[in-house]
Amino acid sequence: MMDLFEKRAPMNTEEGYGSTGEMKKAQYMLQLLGTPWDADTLKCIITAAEQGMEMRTGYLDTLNGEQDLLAYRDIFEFGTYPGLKEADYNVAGANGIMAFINARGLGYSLVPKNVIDAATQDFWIDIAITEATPNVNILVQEQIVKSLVDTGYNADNVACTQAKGNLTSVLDALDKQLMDKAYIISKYSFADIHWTAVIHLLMLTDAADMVNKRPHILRWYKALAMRKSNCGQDIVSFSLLPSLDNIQRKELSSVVIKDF
Amino acid sequence: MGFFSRKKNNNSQEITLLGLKGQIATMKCLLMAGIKEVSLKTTVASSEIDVDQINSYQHLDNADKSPTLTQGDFSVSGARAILTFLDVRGKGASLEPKKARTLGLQNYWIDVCHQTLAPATQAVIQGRATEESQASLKKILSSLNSILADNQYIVGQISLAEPNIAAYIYLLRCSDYDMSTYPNIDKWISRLEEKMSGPINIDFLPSQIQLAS
Repeated sequence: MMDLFEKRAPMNTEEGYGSTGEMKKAQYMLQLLGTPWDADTLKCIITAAEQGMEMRTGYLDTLNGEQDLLAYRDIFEFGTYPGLKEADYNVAGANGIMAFINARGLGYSLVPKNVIDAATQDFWIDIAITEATPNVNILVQEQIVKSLVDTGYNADNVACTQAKGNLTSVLDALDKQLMDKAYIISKYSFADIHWTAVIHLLMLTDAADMVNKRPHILRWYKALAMRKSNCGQDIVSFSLLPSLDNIQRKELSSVVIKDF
Repeated sequence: MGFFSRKKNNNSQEITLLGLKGQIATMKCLLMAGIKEVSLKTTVASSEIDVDQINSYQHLDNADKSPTLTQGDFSVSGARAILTFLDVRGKGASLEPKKARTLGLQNYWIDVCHQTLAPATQAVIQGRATEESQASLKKILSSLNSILADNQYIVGQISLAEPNIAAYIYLLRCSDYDMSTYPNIDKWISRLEEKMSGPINIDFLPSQIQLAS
């Protein structure tokens, strides 16, 4: 029976990367289910592009609770999303998917080898997940997502103002960290991927000025928009991030490797 | 530095952990130190900070962030970063699985722990559990109990999933939550305690929960 991955993110086996058997035996194409306004989904797409892994993406209708329906819960019992499939293997949640792709992919590892760099990376990831994402999510939900369900919806301005207030010190800290650096740690790492997704979504809200006013975050963000992937293939992961239109049309970009 | 001169050995410097009794993030760090046999000098953070059992630390601007680990001139906050540091500094091989699929599974359970187990546990121990959070907790404990019937550890081998999940089990035990229907979880905790024979032991974990104010 066709599972949800085959319905929403079907693999193109007729052409493209992997279709002529040039991949390693153990390497398969990836299929991802998620939503374009979810930072975790975007992190997985960026990681796949950075590590040169072909990935088909499909929309998971979380607006109607599809993550709680049997077809999804049969695969991921707690409804965790985004969800990934590679042949007979399934894993859900950004941390699981990103680690899996990093270990499977073609580029150098996105985890720093030096223990102090690795711990510092995780500190910044922790801040992105626990301090920044919940507040950015409030802005995205209030200003973009809720109006997809109810076209007459008016954003809760009190909640938005509070979320912006909570983000101030977090963004100040990130700006300071990036003051004399091209990347958050000494080289491009998972910390940059986590923050790229969060800052990109923030830029789609009316709080974009919070980024534009912080010169070091802005420089880092603009540089990422032109940065070629970690694996050396001709792909810019940033170009796969959704625009406001993409979000409104519930579209996700797939990762297509052309120079194989 | 000369070719044969010795590098300063940072590994021998004392490691201190600033933490809070009853805080999940602190408990994860203590469990990790026990598993990896790392000596820690523990100090208690200001009691004026509200204890948040889920988040790694309280306020970004507060100098009294908890948990915070310090060794020499390096200092880092948050359970995620501290566990990474202890994993490398501690004895034996890294707890991070080498196989991509097992690594993904480890992180899946850490995510499930953060998104599902943490809020359900928090609600139950604070006496504000709804039917939904009770059901959610039972579901995840049943799932872990089934996995641990066949596996010694959550993803087969001992991994970072252990300190991340075990901390919640200790919290549930301390709050007298009935764990009798999950015997494999109890056996798993016993196996972990056998491993924690180093300088940190479970006596450092709280016997009573200090609830968030």
